[in-house]
Amino acid sequence: MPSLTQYDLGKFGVNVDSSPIHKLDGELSRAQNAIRNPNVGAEGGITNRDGMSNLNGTATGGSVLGGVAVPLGNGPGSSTSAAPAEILLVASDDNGNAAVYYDRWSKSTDYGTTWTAPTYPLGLACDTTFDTIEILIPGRNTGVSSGLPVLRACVFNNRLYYASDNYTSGSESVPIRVFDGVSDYEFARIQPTTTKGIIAMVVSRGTIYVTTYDSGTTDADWVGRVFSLDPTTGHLTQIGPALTTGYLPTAVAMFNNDLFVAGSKQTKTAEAHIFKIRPGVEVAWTDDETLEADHYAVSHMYPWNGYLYIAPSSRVTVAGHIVRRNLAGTYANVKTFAVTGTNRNGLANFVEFKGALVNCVDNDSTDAGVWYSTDGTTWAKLTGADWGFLVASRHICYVFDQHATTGWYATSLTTFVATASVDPSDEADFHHTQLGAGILTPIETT
Amino acid sequence: MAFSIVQSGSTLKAVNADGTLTTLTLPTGVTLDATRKPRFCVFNKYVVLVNSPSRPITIDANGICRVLSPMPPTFPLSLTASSTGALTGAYKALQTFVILDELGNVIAESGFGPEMETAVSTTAQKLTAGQVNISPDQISGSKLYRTSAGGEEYFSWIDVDGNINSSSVIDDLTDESLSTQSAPALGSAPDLIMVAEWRSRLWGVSRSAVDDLRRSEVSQGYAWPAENSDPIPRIGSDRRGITGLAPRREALGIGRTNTIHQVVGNTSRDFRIVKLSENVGIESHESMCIFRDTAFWLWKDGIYRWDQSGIKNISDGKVRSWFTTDDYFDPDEFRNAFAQIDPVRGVYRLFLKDTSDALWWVEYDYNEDKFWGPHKTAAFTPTCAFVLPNASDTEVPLVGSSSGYLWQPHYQGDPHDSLRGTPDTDTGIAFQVVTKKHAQKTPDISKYWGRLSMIGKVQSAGTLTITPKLGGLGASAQSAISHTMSLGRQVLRRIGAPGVHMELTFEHSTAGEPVELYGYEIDDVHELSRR
Repeated sequence: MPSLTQYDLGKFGVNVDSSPIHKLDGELSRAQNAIRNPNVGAEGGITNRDGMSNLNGTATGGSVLGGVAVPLGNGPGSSTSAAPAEILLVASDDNGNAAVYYDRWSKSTDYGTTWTAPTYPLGLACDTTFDTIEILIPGRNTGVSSGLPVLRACVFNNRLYYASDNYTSGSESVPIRVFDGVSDYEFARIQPTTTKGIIAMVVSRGTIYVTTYDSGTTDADWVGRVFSLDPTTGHLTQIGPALTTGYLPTAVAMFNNDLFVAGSKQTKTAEAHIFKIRPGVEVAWTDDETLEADHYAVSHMYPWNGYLYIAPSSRVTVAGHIVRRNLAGTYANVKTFAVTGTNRNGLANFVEFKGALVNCVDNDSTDAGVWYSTDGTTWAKLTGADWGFLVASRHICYVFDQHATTGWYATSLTTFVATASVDPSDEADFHHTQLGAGILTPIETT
Repeated sequence: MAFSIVQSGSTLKAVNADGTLTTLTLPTGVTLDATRKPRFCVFNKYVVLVNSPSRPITIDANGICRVLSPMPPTFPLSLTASSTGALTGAYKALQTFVILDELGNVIAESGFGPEMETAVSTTAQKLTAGQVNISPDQISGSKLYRTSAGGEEYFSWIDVDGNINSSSVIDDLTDESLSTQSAPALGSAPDLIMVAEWRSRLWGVSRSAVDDLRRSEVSQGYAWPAENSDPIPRIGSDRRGITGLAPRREALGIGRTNTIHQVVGNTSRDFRIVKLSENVGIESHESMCIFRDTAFWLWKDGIYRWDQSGIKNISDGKVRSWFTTDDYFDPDEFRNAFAQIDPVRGVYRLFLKDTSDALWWVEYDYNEDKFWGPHKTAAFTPTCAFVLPNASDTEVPLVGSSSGYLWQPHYQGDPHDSLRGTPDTDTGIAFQVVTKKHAQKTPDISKYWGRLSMIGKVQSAGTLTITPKLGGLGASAQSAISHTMSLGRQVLRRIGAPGVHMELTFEHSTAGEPVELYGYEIDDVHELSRR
């Protein structure tokens, strides 16, 4: 009788159904923790199953009952990097300061520990023509820090749309560019070429709105328009006619199907107006409200929890307010701030963060600082020594990753100390993390 | 980058590819039940979670949890005619609640609130909408729908931001300026116990109507109109109702414990429910895996496969006894079985309990039509199984455990895995292989069995224990033989005589010592006599 040779071990896997005398040679009666040898193929014998180790170093805190893969986000393959890095962009000035004169960007890929001057995005539009438009830095009434508000850029579908500075004001059409975290390219241009520049770019209710400064030299003859920007095609659609001569559209927001635009003045004793229009239905602006005297400009408007909140700038000798409009069209002051100082008296932009509405008072009074409210009526100032220097906030940071923007950031206006991320996870005690001081280091303009 | 979401106890965690955990915050008022299996489905940009939450929820790529659809308003709007405006006629209005993303896109919209009993008449006036409901959910605002003058059809009218009722909405948008599209079909999602995505809709079963198959509107996982419901035959035949859903490419399988149906068609106009089999069902929804348009699942008598050729029991003839006796697994626990597809190994992996409550798993090699196992581990107690895309976007099968850890395999032969071939952490893998009973085609003749020669991969260390059984069908074990695996080939002692049958059991369980066997010989083997 020949020898027993068994080199098709496990070739047919496990069989417990056939009788002992009917099983094939390559069948096993049991293969506990044994599998076909994956290293050498189907007839390569058997080996022990793959070992396992725990993925999470820290236990979840309970029995794992179920799970699902989430194949969302860009993921590997969408860029040359296997793991797309988050990019933090902060609008800054030529010296790398994160406030005052926002004409370029500082970039961090380590959450603010170190900063560089990126080649892209290009600089923000900050033509010298705008230097005299003091209203555009809310509350500023001296010439030391004139410039444009930083809401000339917005994030939409994880792309930065911004008003770039690669044009000559008054003779070249104003460009709008797109930065996707890696690439930067021109996306649209404002016509006619005499348009001086873009004042604001805001996303509201899924649409990008662009406002322009078209002509004029003082608030006696200013002309400005409002456009919607198609984020796919770059088509610009003008909404209504130009605003009433003498007003520049500095803030825009969609609220209850109407588009609200703030028409700001330069004269400190003048009153800003709030105009509205129903896009696609109405063809003319309706003058919805005249703000009270000495509230000459508006830096930002934001719909929140059933109201439209307005951040005006006012003459330094009068009290500043947070104003809101209800659904029925009634405007009211919901917060009044102290009046002191001589330099400025305004509010920055609103930010909604973890259930609270946040803004920042920019004046020389003790009220200067970051304020928040969870109901829109009762406002509280952030406390803590670290906040002492923090007198202005700007929505100037854009974080790119596969999940679009995250967090909220405030910046110092007076001491240029640093950028801080704010985490009001505890409404009674907002926390913030001061980011790296590298942004203080002057950076070369490229 | 892709990540995973797991339910651990009564909390929800996001798990990065490197295992970093982040606890997710549930929507206000929503809790997770630690005694119910979470059932997930990826739909559009969101993960939908049902069964274990007190209400179905969605989770987005940022880990933000929201209710799948807000509860609808509970009170009719109050319309009144107010100051001079552009409207003349009789009007009605409806309210819904909406959740918007940061760009203003609708993530979810509730069902409509109650309809007004009577229309409000205006004469060159505006309409004031009062009594605007507030929602107990975290919503972004409300949508108001309005009829045209004297009409019955509703059109989108006004979006109201926020969750307030302190202010009335006054508007006189003309009929011509209303949206040209009528109000969508809506309905808040029921309390679902299972969910699946098919034909760009969510399909599910309500806890309160387990015999009915519900479906959402196309691409609107939040919209579950009441009319989107079909009873699955054998209504009331048991208390479990629909026990599993199997979304294949061109059909949605629906299993009860004793029938399989399928939905075919493309739209609400032509969806049809077709009976596939009355003699097979689905025991466990968690055992259902779909891979390359083939469904695998567990029923009472084995593992089934449903593909282009129909439904077939793939365990019959090989391992039927695993499922039709309680020698291996506890049939009463089949409803709690769970499974995963391992695309790297090409296996359907099914986890089952035995009658001692111990957890085992078996593997079906769908490429070679073979079964392996039952396997077990001493390192942890498996509780669930799913797949996680790793940092390279490769799908890695994960096993959840009662201790709160997720276990990942280290594939032998994977050049990128420095831990390949390792044991289960500090625990050895209890390798135990039992060969067939060799009879050399003479099962009635006693034989002499000569020296055993083992051939395997040369290992750095380790001893394989070989236990022969020699004799008749009920032969008992002989003394064990030790095979030194570092030798690669080793000639061992004689098995002996007499023996009609000869069976070998290979065992090894020392941590850090892999086993790789290529075969064995016994020389010589000669017949003795028929006794």
